[in-house]
Amino acid sequence: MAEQIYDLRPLLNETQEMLREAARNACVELRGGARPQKIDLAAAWRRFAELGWTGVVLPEGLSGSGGSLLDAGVIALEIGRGAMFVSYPETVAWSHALARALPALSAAGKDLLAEIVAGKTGLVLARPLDPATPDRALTGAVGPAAGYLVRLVEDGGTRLVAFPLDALAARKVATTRHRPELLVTADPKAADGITLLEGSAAAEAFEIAALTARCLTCALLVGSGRTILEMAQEYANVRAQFGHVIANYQVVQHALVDIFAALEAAELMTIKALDILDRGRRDHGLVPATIAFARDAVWNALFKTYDVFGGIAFMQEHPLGDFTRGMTVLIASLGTEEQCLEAVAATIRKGAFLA
Amino acid sequence: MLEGPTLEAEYERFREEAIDFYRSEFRPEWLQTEPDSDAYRALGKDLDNKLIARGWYTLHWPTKYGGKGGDLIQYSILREVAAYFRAPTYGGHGRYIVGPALFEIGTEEQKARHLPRISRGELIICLGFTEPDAGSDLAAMKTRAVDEGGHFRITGTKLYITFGHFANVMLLAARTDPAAPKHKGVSLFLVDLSLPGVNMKPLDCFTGHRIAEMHFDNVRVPKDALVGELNRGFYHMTVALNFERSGMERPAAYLAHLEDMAEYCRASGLWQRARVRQLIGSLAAQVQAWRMISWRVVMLQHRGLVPSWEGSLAQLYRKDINPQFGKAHLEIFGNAGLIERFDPDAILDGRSEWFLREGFNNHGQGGRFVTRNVIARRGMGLPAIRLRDHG
Ligand SMILES: Cc1cc2nc3c(=O)[nH]c(=O)nc-3n(C[C@H](O)[C@H](O)[C@H](O)COP(=O)(O)OP(=O)(O)OC[C@H]3O[C@@H](n4cnc5c(N)ncnc54)[C@H](O)[C@@H]3O)c2cc1C
Repeated sequence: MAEQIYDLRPLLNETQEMLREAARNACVELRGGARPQKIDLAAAWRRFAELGWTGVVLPEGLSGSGGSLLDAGVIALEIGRGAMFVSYPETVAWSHALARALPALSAAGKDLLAEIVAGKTGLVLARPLDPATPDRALTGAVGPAAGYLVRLVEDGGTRLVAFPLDALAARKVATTRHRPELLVTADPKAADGITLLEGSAAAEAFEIAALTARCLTCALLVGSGRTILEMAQEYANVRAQFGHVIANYQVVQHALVDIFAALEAAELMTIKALDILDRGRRDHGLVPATIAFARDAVWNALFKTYDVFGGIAFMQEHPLGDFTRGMTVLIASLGTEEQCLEAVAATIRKGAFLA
Repeated sequence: MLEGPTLEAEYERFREEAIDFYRSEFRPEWLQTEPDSDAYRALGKDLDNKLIARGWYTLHWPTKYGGKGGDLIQYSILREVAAYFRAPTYGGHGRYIVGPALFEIGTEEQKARHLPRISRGELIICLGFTEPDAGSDLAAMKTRAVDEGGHFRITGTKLYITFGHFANVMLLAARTDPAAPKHKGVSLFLVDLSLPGVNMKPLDCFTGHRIAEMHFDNVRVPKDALVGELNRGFYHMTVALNFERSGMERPAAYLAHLEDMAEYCRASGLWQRARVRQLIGSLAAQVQAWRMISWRVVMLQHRGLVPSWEGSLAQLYRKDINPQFGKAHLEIFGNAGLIERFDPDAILDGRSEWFLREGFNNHGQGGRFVTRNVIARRGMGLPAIRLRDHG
């Protein structure tokens, strides 16, 4: 499988390039130039379903589009570029993981997949708040009308259970004060969950979904990173100080180049990592490296963009704040920098490169 | 507890006294209230009044003007200790910046009129320099003050004005000689903000702080509102008004927050992660460096010297540390670090999440790039880069 790494020519095939183009146009239309907090994400999600994006990785037998994770990544990049901070990565990652375990999937699980294709439901992962109280998590389905939190339950055996977020929500939290969509979840055993898978299939699906969601989140983040870079570049070309537009100043150019350089690599890595996941290589070192690198790249893109804008971007009426809130929540969902780097380090072993 | 720089015994005694004061006054609400909210400002007013009663509000001013005749070192010690306790204050640039500038460039009449009112906390002064087209390039300001014999008539817009939404006076820079080169022909005025023609539009910042955009539409100000020499405003801004712009209290507030973070991490078990200890350790080392750079500014001023690039260096430390300081909250607390104040799960009463956003607040008094330019030229004698003019 190692040779697949060298297959960077072309990165996307013609169909994927077309998908990307179509996704870009659709997202531009959905956004309608609005700032992120003003986008109607529920309407956007319905449109995603019409376009076949919610079921993109599900087989046609399940009314899906039969696409790959890479296809989903191309869409996620454009959703991010369109400034829509939705639960698309997690929902697609779960549908991918559950579809792989189809023969073992419960009837209720199959019904859930149908709801995902129809755009009615999203499946999300828990983002642990505190290792000491693992049941409490920060989560939320953003976009779909209803959402389920999927988690592993160890009660005698291992089960993968979907809990309706409505029943689980302890309360909404103000991580995003203008759009309080995230929830602190209560003890999940209190709610009626739907068992999706049991035993080793459950554990494997969980692992697949968690890793896949993070790679797709990177795609969404890199897309939104591109948009804030464009915003900064446009501003630098019109804002004049000392008699010149500030894009003339090398230090401004260097900041923009730093953002650009990191996002270029992050995008290549994300595409390749999803391709690797499509090939079932979850152990490949490029996957955690992508997550660590992309996380860093988009964080730097954020604060360097603020450097370029000057005071204006720090005002609440400026859209960069919306990007910051949306992107920070997603950056945190990738794990801490320490966790991301530990995951990369674990893959560095003598000969791993050749494997 | 914060260690003092090496100080003479008399200063050490004063420092102990200041610590005792803030320790006995301390209220948990100081840490729990949203900065810049009405509730916060009420707490600030309450504490300011206690400082005023002790003569500490303007400790370093002569008694004649409502001060206590203390020196700048004492005053800086007080500021640092106050910041360490995160003591609230009502606001205004009077006691730190404008008052000391008036000692230098104000007339006797202006001193007698304004300084006692500042020292009683009655005069809340904001600084009006920045304009929509004059940010880093302040000399591009367009606000005009026209001498009409008995008064000046001021017209223009000032942007991003801290305290502008509740101040009663602005120290405003305006062009008085449009024919003069950019850096000349600017003058300073103390403008009563209740005058007809002054309009204020509040601007909310990403951290919830409120600042303001201020419009001056043919505002007539009396002749004696002029501060300093006519057409020498730019010079005054870079010399007299640079006073106490070291922001010297901030490192103490950041160190206090690092102490809180470390305590939280020890209690929650996060301290077992080496990365957590290293992040906090690395930030503390950098903040200590920043603190020394800031204290040097104070020491120069204490000796009667005029700091220039040294003040910019203190700014640079703040601005280089700030984004890292914000990010550390994400790396240490993860998802929980995203929860805002007022939520029971917010870490350190939401101060953690607030610092994450504050990490992007890097342009007050100029951004990092321009600050580096200033240090390159004034501090290191490096040449200015001249771009050819367009067309
Ligand atoms: C929270 C806050 C509070 C403030 N309070 C006050 C206040 O009380 N009173 C007041 O008068 N002002 C205040 N300001 C304004 C502040 O001083 C300005 O924001 C600052 O000077 C930068 O100006 P600008 O925002 O217009 O950015 P710009 O000057 O437009 O800068 C945009 C970008 O261009 C870069 N740039 C500009 N010129 C050069 C150059 N020659 N070389 C390289 N790079 C360059 C800058 O570094 C920056 O990256 C405040 C600002 C903020 C954000």
